[in-house]
Parts: sequence; C-alpha cells; structure tokens
Amino acid sequence: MMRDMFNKAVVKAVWPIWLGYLPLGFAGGVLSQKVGLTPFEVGLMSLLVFAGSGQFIALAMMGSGSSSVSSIVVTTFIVNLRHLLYSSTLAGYLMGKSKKYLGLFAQGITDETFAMNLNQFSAPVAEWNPSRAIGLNILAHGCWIFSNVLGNVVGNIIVIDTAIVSYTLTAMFIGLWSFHFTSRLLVLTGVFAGILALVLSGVLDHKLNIVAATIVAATVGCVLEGSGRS
Amino acid sequence: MTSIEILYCTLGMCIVSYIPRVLPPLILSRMKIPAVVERWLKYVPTSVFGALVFCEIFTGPQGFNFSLTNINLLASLVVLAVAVRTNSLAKSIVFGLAAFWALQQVL
Repeated sequence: MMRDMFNKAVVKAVWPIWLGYLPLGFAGGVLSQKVGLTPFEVGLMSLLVFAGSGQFIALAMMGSGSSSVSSIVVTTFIVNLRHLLYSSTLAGYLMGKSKKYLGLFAQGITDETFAMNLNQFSAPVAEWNPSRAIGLNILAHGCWIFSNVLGNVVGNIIVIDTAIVSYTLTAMFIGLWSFHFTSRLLVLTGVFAGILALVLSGVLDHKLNIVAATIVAATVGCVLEGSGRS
Repeated sequence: MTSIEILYCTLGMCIVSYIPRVLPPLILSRMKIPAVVERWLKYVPTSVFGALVFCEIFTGPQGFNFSLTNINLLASLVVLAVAVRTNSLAKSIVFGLAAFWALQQVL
C-alpha cells in the first residue's frame, strides 16, 4: 500500500499543486504571523483545517480583532461547504473502501486535490487508484503545512511576487477544466456556471456563489442532457 | 486573540470543515448511487471549474475586470489553447506562466 501511495505517478500528479501551494501557503503563513499566531499554531491549523480560502478569511477575521470565535467558525463552515460537492463526486471512485481510509482521505479534499484526483481517476489510461489518491492528498497536505509554517517563520525576510505565483493554480484549473470538454454540453455548462458565479458574487459572499452556481448549472446540464435524449 | 481562543477557533474550524468532506463518501460509497444523481454529478466538475476559473480571471482587487488588458484573461487563453492542443497539463501551466510573466512586462 505504502509503495503505491508515494510513487513516481503520484509525484507527477502532485507537482502543480506543490508549485501553487508553496507560495500560497507561504502567504498564509506570513499573514498568520502578522495576526499573532505562532509557527505551531499555524502548523496545527494547516493540519486540521487544510483550506486555503478558509484559513485566509479566518486569519483576516482574527486580525480584525472584532470577530468572535463562533463567527469565525460559522464563516469557515460556509466557505468550505463546497467540499461537499467534491467529496460526493469522488465517492464513486472510492466504493467499498474502509471507514478508516475514507476518514483519512476526506481530510485531504481541497479544490486542488479534488481537481487532480478526479482528472487522474477519469483518465483514459486507468492507472489511478485510491492508494495513489490518498498519497496525493497527503503529499499536498504536507506541502501546505510546510509552506504555512515557513511563511510564519521567515515571512519578514523574503518577499515574493504573489500575482504570478497565485496564477499557477488558476492555470492548473483551466488545464484540468479543458480536459472535461468532451461534449458541447459539458463546455456550455461550465461557461454558464462561470457567468452565473460572477453574477452571484454580488449577492453571495464567502464562496457561496461557487456552490450556488455549481448546483444550478449542473442541474441545467443534467436536465438538458435528459431532454436531448428523449 | 488569546492563544486559547486561537485553539478553540482551530478546533471549531476543523470540525465544520471535516463534516462536508467526510459525510458524502461515508454515505455514498456504501449505497448504489441513483442514476439521476450520477448524471447530475457528471456536470459538477465542469461547473465547479467554470465557476472557480471565471471568478479568478475576472475578479481583481478593484472588482470586475472585463477589459482586454486583463493579464489573467490573456494568459488563460494561452493556457486553454495549449491544453486543448497538447492535452498536457505541465505544458499548459508552463506556457501560461510564461505568458503571464511576459504580459506583466508589456502591460
């Protein structure tokens, strides 16, 4: 199991995530240090929460000084609700796995690990499996913890250009998205979701626009496929 | 915030983040997923990617940016072209970052 968890295929899949998480986690670490967290505290948060946007928003709220613990926790819940969609989608590839496996795998689900695992699972050459998927999650998670702690410790010394490095993950998402363009309806559904998310961003905060746009667009796509068939 | 409040925060965040992650696999991996749900789930990835990507590209620090000098947008067209043509994620990212960097110098 271990040998299949961390092998060349897994590293080959995880590197774009590392490339994105190093600067992103570093930036999170810098912010955490400014807010007053110790390296241990941000390391623990990165281990237990493992969510980019969730941690950034929580840290910003901590820094503002006027936010209560409960308001931060509730906000985090809303921001991370979208993981529900990811874990539901991946569940089909994890049929019959043990509770222990699923419990551990679940902790590693993020925008990025979801995208990469799904892409690997649905590749035409079926060489991906649950062991590799959890290996990818763990390697991505480890990088996240490392870069957050690093940013907290040396944040004052190093300055990085965040614009270009944060674009790495956007580029990764575009690439992975395009691999799903196997029918016209899938393309149109995605574009529709994108427009909807932008429109909804005016009224829905904390990434809820992503959740709402996804639910509506996926439903429309599903209904259109049904009507096209009959 | 005091360190005990930070600890409470972290633990609370851990619990509320974990629940949406773990419940669907625990439930769905032990039952036969209805065909209509499966068909719906097929459209979730493209929708999530579309939503995430559009928000990343068109939203800047000063709100929406639909102009033709939007570096995110221009670099993304490069990524898309390379991805569709080569089917290689690595090439798409490398060319995208190169385009982004070049556009930063010009614009």
